[in-house]
Amino acid sequence: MKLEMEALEQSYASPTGERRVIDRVDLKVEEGEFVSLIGPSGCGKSTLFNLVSGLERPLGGRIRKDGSDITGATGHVSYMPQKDCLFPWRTVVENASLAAEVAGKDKKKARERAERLLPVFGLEDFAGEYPARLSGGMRQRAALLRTVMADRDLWLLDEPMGALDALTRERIQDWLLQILSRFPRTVLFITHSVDEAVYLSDRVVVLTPRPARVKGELSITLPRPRTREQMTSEAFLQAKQWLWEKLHEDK
Amino acid sequence: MRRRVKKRFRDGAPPVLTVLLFLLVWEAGVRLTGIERWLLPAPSGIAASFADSWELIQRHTWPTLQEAVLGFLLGIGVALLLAVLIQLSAWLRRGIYPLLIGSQTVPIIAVAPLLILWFGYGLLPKVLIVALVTFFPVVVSTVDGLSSADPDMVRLLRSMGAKEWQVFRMVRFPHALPSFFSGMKIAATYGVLGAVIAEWLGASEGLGVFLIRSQNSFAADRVFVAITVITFWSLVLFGLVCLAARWAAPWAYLRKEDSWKGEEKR
Repeated sequence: MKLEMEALEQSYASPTGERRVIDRVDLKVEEGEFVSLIGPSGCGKSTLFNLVSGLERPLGGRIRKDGSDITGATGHVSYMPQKDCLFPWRTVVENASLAAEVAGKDKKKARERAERLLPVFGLEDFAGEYPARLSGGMRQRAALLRTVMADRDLWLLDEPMGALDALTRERIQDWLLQILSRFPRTVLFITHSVDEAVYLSDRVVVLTPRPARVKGELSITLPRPRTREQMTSEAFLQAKQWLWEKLHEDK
Repeated sequence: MRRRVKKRFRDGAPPVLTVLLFLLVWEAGVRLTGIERWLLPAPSGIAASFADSWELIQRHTWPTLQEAVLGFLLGIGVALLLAVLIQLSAWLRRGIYPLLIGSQTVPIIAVAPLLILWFGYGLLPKVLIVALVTFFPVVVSTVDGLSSADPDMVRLLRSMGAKEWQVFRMVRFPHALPSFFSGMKIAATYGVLGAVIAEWLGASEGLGVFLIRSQNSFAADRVFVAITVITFWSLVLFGLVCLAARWAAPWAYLRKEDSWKGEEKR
């Protein structure tokens, strides 16, 4: 099992006392699986990511990766935040080799590797450019390159396309799938879009409003590689329907 | 390229014209009213006086510049050190920061005599006075810059397993560079002024001395010459800081219109 969350619990102090954000979440993700988390805004999905990436320590429960306990430890997953978070003072290549530098690896080698990968991300003409000169879609691709370069087999993608316009968003989705077929990884993906979740995932997990609990999950059996045509197929629409109803069940 | 020249002209012409017009009105006013030369000299008179006292000016400019630049460097050095310490230690932040703000309510002009008592009439007390005036804006703006780094970038770096010093070096410090330089720009305009004031309190040479002597001999034209020289060097110092800022943080000067607007590639 690539990733196991076992009875995860987290609470924050608030003026009205303890506020539970995560309530006994159990979740298993298999090697190479693409799992989307979907749920109402503010339900604690990002907190779940903070726990898995080790930025926060859970109040209770365990997180295991490849069988070993990584609860509260950073550096085991590759995390891609909501914003592209490119450092404005670093060029595209320098941003891409960030993780290597943090790990104290050879800077020059990391940059050479980034340059070799640039064409795959359509950024070959922008190696030495600062992020301020890139368009939204290009920035997202640069952030994805940084995620690939981090060399972790487990990715946490926190709504990476939330800020993009619809067209660019579709392109980047296809992009992400292409990249994943080239660099196979296990992905945990947060999104607000039912369409996006069904289109990208092997499995979609629906979370309850705060505190977050697993409300239900659905395997998406659409064949890969995914195509836009599938989006109008019966299976796709059924999956959407099921998720939609699950999301709005007790409202 | 041509467009850039045009833009330079469009932006640069109005202030130049305003100054020229101002000088013209001044010159005409002085000539028409026949006001006394020791009260208000005409621009042409000041120019003549400038030419006459060229060597004298040069002799007095050098020490002032030396005090200003050394004091400025000392000031920003201390400021940078303090800002980093304040950022790194919560205890120091609570201990030093309020004192720093408090120290600025003590008028420098009142502290200066003490420095002269302690360190004599040489270079040192003047350098210290300039450092005292220039370090404050740099500390305040650098602390601001260091503490306002994007928390998401910090989280990203931490998730990669970065240590606190790496977060500082890779996020906080570069993020603070533009603020550091804006503090330095303010400080640069104080530098020469600080040196001149320090010289008023006791010196044998320098633009401050030149100013006092001109005042004592009712040579208003020379006072204006001194003002011009002080302004000129303040601007030079300011310009150097601007150049340094562009060199150290070129990414902060990328303009929106330069951004990539081409077709999204697939």
